[in-house]
Amino acid sequence: MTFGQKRRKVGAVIALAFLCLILISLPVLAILFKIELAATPEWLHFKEFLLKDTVYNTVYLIVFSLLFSAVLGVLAAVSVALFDFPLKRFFKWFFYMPLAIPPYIAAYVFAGMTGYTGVIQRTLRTYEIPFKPEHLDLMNLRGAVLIYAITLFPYVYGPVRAFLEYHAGGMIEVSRVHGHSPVKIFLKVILPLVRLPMVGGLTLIMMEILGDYGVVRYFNIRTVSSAIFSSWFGSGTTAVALRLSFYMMLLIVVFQGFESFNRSRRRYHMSGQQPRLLEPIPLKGMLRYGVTLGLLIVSLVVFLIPVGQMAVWSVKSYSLVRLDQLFQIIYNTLFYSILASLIILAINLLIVQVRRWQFDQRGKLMDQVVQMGYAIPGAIIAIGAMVIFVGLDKWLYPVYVLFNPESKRLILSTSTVLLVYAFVVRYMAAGYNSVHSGFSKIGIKYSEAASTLGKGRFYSLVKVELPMVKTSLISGFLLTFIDILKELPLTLLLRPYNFNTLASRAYEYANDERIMEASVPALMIVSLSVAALLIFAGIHQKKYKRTQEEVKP
Amino acid sequence: MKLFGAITLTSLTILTALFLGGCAPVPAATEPAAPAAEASAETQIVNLYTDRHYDSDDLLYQSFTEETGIQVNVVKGKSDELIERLKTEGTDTEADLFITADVGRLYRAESAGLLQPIESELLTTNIPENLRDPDGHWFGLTKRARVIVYAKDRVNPDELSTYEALTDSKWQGRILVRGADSIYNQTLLASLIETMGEAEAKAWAEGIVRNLAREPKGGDRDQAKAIAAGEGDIAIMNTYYLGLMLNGADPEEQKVVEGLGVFFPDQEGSGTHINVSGGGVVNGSKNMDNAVKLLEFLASEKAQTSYAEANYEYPVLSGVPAADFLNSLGTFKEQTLDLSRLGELNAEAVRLLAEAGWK
Repeated sequence: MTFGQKRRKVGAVIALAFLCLILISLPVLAILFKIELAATPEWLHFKEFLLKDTVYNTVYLIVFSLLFSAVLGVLAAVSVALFDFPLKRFFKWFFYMPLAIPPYIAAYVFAGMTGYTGVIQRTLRTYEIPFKPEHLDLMNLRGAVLIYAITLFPYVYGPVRAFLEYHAGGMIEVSRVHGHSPVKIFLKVILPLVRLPMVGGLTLIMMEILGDYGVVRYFNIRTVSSAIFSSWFGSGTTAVALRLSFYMMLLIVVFQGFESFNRSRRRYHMSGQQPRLLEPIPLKGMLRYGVTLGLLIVSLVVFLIPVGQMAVWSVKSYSLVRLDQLFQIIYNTLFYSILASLIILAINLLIVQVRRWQFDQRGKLMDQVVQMGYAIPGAIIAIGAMVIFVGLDKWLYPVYVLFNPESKRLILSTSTVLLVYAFVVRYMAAGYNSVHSGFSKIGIKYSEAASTLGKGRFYSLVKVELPMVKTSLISGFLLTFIDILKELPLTLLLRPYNFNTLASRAYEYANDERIMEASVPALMIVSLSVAALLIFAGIHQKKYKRTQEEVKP
Repeated sequence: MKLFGAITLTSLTILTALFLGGCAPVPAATEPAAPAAEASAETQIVNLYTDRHYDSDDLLYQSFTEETGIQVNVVKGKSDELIERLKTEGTDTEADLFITADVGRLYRAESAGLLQPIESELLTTNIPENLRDPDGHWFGLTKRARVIVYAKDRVNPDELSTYEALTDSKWQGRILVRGADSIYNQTLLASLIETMGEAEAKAWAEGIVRNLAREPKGGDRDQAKAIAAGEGDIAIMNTYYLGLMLNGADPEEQKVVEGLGVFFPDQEGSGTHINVSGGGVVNGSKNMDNAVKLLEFLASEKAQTSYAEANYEYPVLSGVPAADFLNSLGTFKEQTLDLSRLGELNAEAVRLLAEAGWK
């Protein structure tokens, strides 16, 4: 292959990557295109009566949910990575499980449990223990923070634990040898070290919260996301909704910019390429069981109790739930989640390659474009995607007629192609971090080495690098898969006729306040997610064992 | 680690099999809904957008198909988003019929030009004039009454009279109601704007906010439960939720309803506020005749009976009895306002709710 041919090939890849980026950003652009920042009467009214409340609630939710997720995630990760105690192996993977519960389902379940007819108040009444129902009330800002923290903290826990296990060994052991106290090690060594993986997780959490609508709608908390809904869909005026979406995107760009600015002032060096596994310290005496007990309580609250409650409700209401076509529904759910996740993985792979080959540090903008869809409420993305597809159908109509003179006009926009496209746009970010961080760990030295040996980048990618980042890729795929499995607003808005998923079935009952019946499909979502998480745990445990053997002296 | 390995392997195999299976053409048996909108000479279809997602509705569509041979294809979603979808699809849309659970939404769809007027003698005979659009853009199919629910042990129904009277200071800290986003509250306020004028209606909303027992939150069922919990004494809510609670899977919810009384307000005045769920034929419908047939079927005695019994809604067809639970509440005088007028007033109601500080 001549140099020129090679260049053309690379040029084609870059062009393809940019094409993907453009396709991903189209729905967002379609929305932004309509924005006008003039002071319309609707906006002035919103500003006068609702803006303050909206901003306060949104900021409150984000600040405290991030804080609690960070505390919970880091503490759990540190306990599991640094120490040995009973049940540690169980906890290590168990703390991923809350990802299996969609936040809006958790909101219904916890509100149901703590409500008047729920198990807690019922028990207290039975034993005539005096209490004030207000104290158990979760349907407020604090309750929403709790729901977000316990369903989303694994986004912090996962990367922080992995980082500590694989890369922090050397530094922590040096500090231990120097006789620093555990508190000092935690504050001076561990916290600064885990900052990078932690912030990655927190960014995802922030975007999930900004885009969430289910929890705040049920708890009746006015946030930017719920205000977008009620002003657009509720009053049919787009001015306020578009403006708010614009501010929301701006907020995320600022947050990411701030973080990367901060990061660029410090330099991070991994201790060589060889991971240095951390040798966990066995805990002694009371502490040993104290940690186990503490983590057990956390496990109960974040997963076992809500899922147990759902199981009880499912048994009670099973006979009232229509289960015909169940096979078809599960099939739809799995097929489209997997398909969209695979496409996302492929595009992510492509974009990350181009970014590391061509743009290196200047690729930040690409990161932001990729992640944009995640922060915007699903229904907004859905409308954007629909606008694009209906336009496309109009444009393609002459082609349809060539094949079938009696063709209908809307082909693509009434098919599942639109749904899959919208999934891809919305959930690119879910897998991007895994793929991106997998590759940034190995750098570009392998492809450089390959090119000195006369082999191209594709060769080194396929033969050397892909096997090295296999675990990251599968993780990215699984995390995306779980997110789409739980997805609701896109499916509701874009689905073709008679198309149901488990999430849409759960919604149909939950929206009618029949939470017991909703538990049946919801529990199936949880089971499928747990299955995916077990695979995730399996491959990571295998990697851990392998690394353990490799670094053994 | 053998266990993990085994799980991984089996799961991957299953997933791959599913995926490959998915890529292959789907056998007809597992695809109950053949390609939706391809109306051939043999199969008649009607495509429906609805925000009613009750299982009992699905059964009604099934029996419609059995009777007429017309297949019903359904997209269930949230009404406002379905309206947005119809707007985007324009007249190219494949939807034939739009059904939603509030008159404000029906009106919004109509005024966005999404519905077309139809003439049907059966519909005009079966559905009272005030429950349908004068030009036939939409027709009410079921009624819901927005009533006052009270704690039997703490409130004497003689103390209750009108919606207006709820702003009296004796109810301070005792009223429960859903948030301003609830379309039922918006339409209730719209009806008050119509009966007493904008300024009075705003004062009413402010009065309710002043008397709230807690910030509005949750759904209608949550208001009933909050009465049982003693957080408040009276709630503004729809009757059919009580019916669903009383006949649901949770014995605790049944107990809650047993402790509640239902009061129909405004019996001396303009009557208790009612809202409808209803439907209209979509502008651009390709199967218009079938859409009308389905509407007529839903307004027929058979469907009306099912609506009443399965979902505790009031039938619009006179002569069809309401469910036993609703009958046990007694008969009442209804607001006879023109519902299309309430639709017009929706935007104003939303504005007033915000100004009154109704969360």
